[in-house]
Parts: sequence; structure tokens; C-alpha cells
Amino acid sequence: MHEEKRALVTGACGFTGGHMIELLVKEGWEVVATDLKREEHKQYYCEEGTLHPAYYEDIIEKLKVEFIPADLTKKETLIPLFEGKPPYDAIFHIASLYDYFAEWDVLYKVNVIGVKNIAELAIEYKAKRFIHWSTEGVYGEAEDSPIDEDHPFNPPNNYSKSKAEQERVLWALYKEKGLPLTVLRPAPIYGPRHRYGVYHILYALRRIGTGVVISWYPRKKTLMFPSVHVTDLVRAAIFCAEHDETIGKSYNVLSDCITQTEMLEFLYDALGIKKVVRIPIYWPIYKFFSKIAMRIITYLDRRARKRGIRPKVDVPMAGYITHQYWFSNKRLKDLGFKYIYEDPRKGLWDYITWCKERGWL
Amino acid sequence: MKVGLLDVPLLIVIGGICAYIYAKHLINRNRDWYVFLILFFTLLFWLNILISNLVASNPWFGIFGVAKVHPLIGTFYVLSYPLWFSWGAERIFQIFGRTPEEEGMLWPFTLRERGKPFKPSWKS
Repeated sequence: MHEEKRALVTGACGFTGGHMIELLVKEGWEVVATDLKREEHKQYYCEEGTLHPAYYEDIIEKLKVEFIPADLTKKETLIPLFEGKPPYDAIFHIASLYDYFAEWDVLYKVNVIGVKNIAELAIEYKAKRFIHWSTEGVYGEAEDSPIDEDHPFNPPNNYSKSKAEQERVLWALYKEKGLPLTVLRPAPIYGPRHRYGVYHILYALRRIGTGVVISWYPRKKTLMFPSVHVTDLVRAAIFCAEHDETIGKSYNVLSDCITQTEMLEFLYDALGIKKVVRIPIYWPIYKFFSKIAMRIITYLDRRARKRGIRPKVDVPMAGYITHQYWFSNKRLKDLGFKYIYEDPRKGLWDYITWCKERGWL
Repeated sequence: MKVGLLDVPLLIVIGGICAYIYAKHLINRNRDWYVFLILFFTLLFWLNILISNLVASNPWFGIFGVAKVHPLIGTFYVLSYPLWFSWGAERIFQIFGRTPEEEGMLWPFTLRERGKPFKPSWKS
């Protein structure tokens, strides 16, 4: 008799969490979902301003999965997720404070202390797999070749620092207490319902309305654009949960990287932005101007904080215009995982269409 | 041939003002308003040159300066009027956006959203 697999999904009301639950339910898993209550969500996220991480409780209601609200930072609230239940076949730990606007104290509390709390309970209650969501951001900048999973960490901002710290806690638990850990390091995620991250880029291009395509010289300085469609990401998570050889390993999860020049040309077409200005630029001159742009964005960030609202562009996000983020997805492919959206343009086309139909872009 | 010295700067400024009014208001009434405006101002400036050269007065009655040039140069100069209008308009479109939803290059440098919400694609 086929036995139903059981999964615990944290961060279930977030963008990725919702997709994770949808796929698990579709594939016949029994799901327990957890997240903060809506009113508690606001204590961690500043919701004043245009764009901020969203909270989707309707997915859980629609799929009729068991929902147990909990706060990662309060271990006692996590116990009902485990107590009196058979061990989970997999815990998909998606919950994280993914907010570039958040202060370090809050990031540390949620992302580092929070992960320790849930991972200790996973060990205590003998979860068979612990699939953890990290980020490509832990690596920092690439030089002239794509970064693989063995690259040392050099996180460039507070959010990525908290994720790097989170991984250190988990790898220690893996080594010392046998946590059945697999770490996924996704590139910026997009897909239906997505509203924070890649959406900012599309939203900014649409609001600006005039396309600027930059070609860098020398050509080896061309910046890359890493991204992953949420469908591929949640598929990769289940794929890892079903392959025991992934225990104790980490995987970059992203479509094949294409250059920012190619990506921008594609995005202007997809968004219907007709006027495009091409600027070929010598790399040191570009760096000089991008530093000025970063200073202006930092200044706006300070002003926004004083007013208690979010800026339109978070400073770390603007780092994508100055830093080389280039990652390899070879390890996961070598394991046999097949991406649906190997070319990010295919996924972005679907996502942009989805957004346009809803008046989001 | 007599030509207005400040015709080109004037057309750039008028083009810019028209572009702003078009992008924020007129576009929703009729997308052809931009063509109407460019035609209206170009014809107005051409008419001014034509009259001033035919009846021996000065363009804009000499208020904005007059220059006497070779007829060939003058003709090219006058024919370029719609291009200067468009050039001025395009700069303003880039800075402030082309539709009420767009905010142009100013968008990243401000804190509040001023653009109108996007409409679903099948309604726009």
C-alpha cells in the first residue's frame, strides 16, 4: 500500500511557501503548514511604502491543509508542530525574514535563532529530511567564472549575512547531531504572486518607461543575471527530499545565467517598452557612475527610514547593477534534475504575462 | 531668407511642455493628441516664417531675434522644426514618463509613488 508522505512547510503564507504547498498537495503529500499569524507578520515587516513581502493566507484556505500558526523565534510555539504527530518525511524550511530593509537585530533573531529552534526540534522529533532555503547571496561577488557550491562565503549585505550565519548553525547541527540537512541556495525567485525582489526590477522598468541597455567594455566585465522560477525551485526541493544522496550537500538552484544586456533587451520587449537607449560604456566609467547612483539610493534609504516608509529600491537590491552575481547550477543538473525554465526568459515571459493580466505591471 | 533665431529653442521648450501635458492628461482622451500638437506648432512656426518672408516683416515681429541666411540653409532649418519639437518632447518623456502610469527617470529618486496604478493588460 502506498503510504502518504508527510511534510512540514514553514513560511507557508509567503510567496515560495504557497507554491511549495500547492506542489506537495498536487503530488499527494500530507502537509502541515506554519507561519506567523497575519497580525504578527506586521511586527517583522515594514508595510509602509510601495513594495514589500506579501502574506497569502488564502492559499492555505484554498488547499485545506492543516495550518498551525507559530513564531520561529519562540520555540514553545513550534512544539505543537511536532508533538503527538508521526515524524515528518521532510521539513521544508522556507520561513525567513527576506527583507533587505530589515535591521540586523531582527534578521538575526528570525533567521539565525529561528532556524536553530526549528532544527533542534526536527532532530528531537526525528524528521527524516530537513530541506533548508538559503540564498545565492551568501557567496558575494563572482570574478570571471560562475560560482559553485564550494565557493567561500562573503555575504555583501545584512540579509545575506544572516543567511550565511543561518547555514553555519545548521551545518554545525548536521555534523554534531545528525540533522538530515540539504541546503538549497536559490537565485532571486520569481513566479506568480511574487512581489518582492525580481518584481522590483520589472516594476522599476515599467515605471521608468524608457529602456536603457548597457554594454560593458571590455566585454569580459559584462554583468550576469541569475534568477529562478518558483516552480523549478519547489520542484528542486521535492527532488532533493526524495534523493537521500543530497543529505549533507548544498545546491545552487537557478536557471542558466544570461547577461544583463540580453536580459534587459528581453524585458523591454516583454514589457512593451519601445524606446530603448543603448549605452556602450567603459567599465571604470560605469563603476564611477554606479557608485554615485548607489550613494543616491543610500541617501534615499536613510530619508525613507526617517519617515518610517520603505524606499522604492532597497540598497542591497541596487547592488545588482554594480556586482557580478554569476552562479553555476551544474551540481543539481548532474544529479538528474531537469529545469522547466532552463532559459530564464521563458519563465519571465510567463510571469510578466501573469502580472500584466492582473495590472501589476 | 529670414528665420527666427530662437525658433529652435522655443520649439524644444514647447515640445517639452506639450509632452508633459500629453503624457499626464491628453493621452487618456486620445492618443493622437501628440500628432495634433506637433502638427499645430510646426504649422504655426512655418506659417510665421512664410508670412514674414512674404510680407517683408520679421518672424514673431522681431521679438525673438531675426537672422538672414542663405535660402537653402534657411529651408533646411525650417524643415527641421518638427524634429526639434520631438527632441524636446522626448527628453521630457524620458524624465517624467510617457503615460500617467509611468514616472520616467525620476522614479528611482523619489520616495512617493506619483504614477497611476497599472491597468490589467486586457483593459489598457
